[in-house]
Amino acid sequence: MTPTRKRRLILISLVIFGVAVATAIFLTAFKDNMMFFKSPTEVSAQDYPQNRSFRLGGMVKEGSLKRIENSLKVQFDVTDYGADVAVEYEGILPDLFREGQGVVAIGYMASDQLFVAEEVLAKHDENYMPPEVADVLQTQEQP
Amino acid sequence: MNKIVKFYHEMGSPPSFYRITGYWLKPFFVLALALTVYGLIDGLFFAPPDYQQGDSYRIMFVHVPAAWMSLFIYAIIGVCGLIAFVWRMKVAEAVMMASAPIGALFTALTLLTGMLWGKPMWGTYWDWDARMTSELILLFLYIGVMGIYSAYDDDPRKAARLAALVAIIGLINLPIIRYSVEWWTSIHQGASISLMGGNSGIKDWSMLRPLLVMALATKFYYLYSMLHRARNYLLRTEQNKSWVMRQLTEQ
Amino acid sequence: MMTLLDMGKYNFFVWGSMALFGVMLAVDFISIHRQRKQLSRQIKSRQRRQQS
Repeated sequence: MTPTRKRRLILISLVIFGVAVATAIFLTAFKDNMMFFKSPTEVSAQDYPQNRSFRLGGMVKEGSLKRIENSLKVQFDVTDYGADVAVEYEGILPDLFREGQGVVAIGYMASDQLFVAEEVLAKHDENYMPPEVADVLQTQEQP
Repeated sequence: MNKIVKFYHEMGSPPSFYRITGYWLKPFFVLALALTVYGLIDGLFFAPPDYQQGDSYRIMFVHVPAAWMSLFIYAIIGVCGLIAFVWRMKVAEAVMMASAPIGALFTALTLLTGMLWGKPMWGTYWDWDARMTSELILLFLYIGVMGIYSAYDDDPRKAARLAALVAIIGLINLPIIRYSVEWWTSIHQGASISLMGGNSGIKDWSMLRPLLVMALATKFYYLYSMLHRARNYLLRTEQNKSWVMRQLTEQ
Repeated sequence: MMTLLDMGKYNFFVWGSMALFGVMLAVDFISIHRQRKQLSRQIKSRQRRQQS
């Protein structure tokens, strides 16, 4: 390798290294700000932004979904199996919304116990399978 | 061994790169077209619906291959950028600049099909989660590489070196996109298929097959498009050389 | 045939994605060939000027 090429290679390696370190420091420092949502555990520990809306993410607790009578409102619990947060929402739920599935709710804490959602998004996992296979798997799980 | 060394040297010289890749264009295009037609028919009509998402998951057969290509092509741009920057190889410059438009196109396609998938499933076209934001930054990187190159149009070789520098720095975004769904909480789900093996989220062969076929089809289309553009690039930047005239009068 | 093409309530999203895929690759294909034609015309006329 000629000296000029070696010099260029060292130069570019230094640039890559510098950028990588800077990015790593930046991402670590702002890790919390880049989190898309807060978990129910964090929310019940009062670790959420006051006076502005934020995202709450977790699983819809099995058997917690109920319609509030004489209104279009629904209520359900979001859980991360450590803590639960009650969520109230008025509007159309996405197709994938169901109990036991992931959910992200955007809204604010109306009181210490109640999260009022302005928007509800469904989250799905990385598993895809035909319905028949899913049925078989389910019957195996519950003999 | 000698053959490989000879091939390597031939691919490094613009006239023989131009001559050799000329034979590859048609087969690559035919393969890309045939695999796309087969993959889409298989994915749209023969693959079973998903147990959760029904028919909407079929968007995966264009979304996921496009997303893979957006990362794969950027990696190639980065490597070619490094070669162009350190060794000043003309063919590397050509491959780098020829890859940028098709890479940008696949990135835009990833974002747009992702939006069309996000609306019915998640309930929103767009949200600023780590995966989507970093993929959008990738699109800007592609545009940046092309923009810097065309800003220095008086000296294409210098322009290619500057573009290479931007491309190399942008490489840092690739691991961020790949691991964005693991490092941060996000609405986007984790990877279903990983090169390292491990748990696969798609075990059903009739669902996996169209995905793999489409992944292959997009690779061939990339090769076709990139080589075509790289040949054009060499013709344009070497137009004062005698081999260019010979090539054009032969046709 | 119609039942085969029917993606239920996801028609717009699924077929929209497929159409985008087709249209964008077609645009790429056309732009490559247009670029090529323009380039060879340009180079040929330049060479003619130099010869005369």
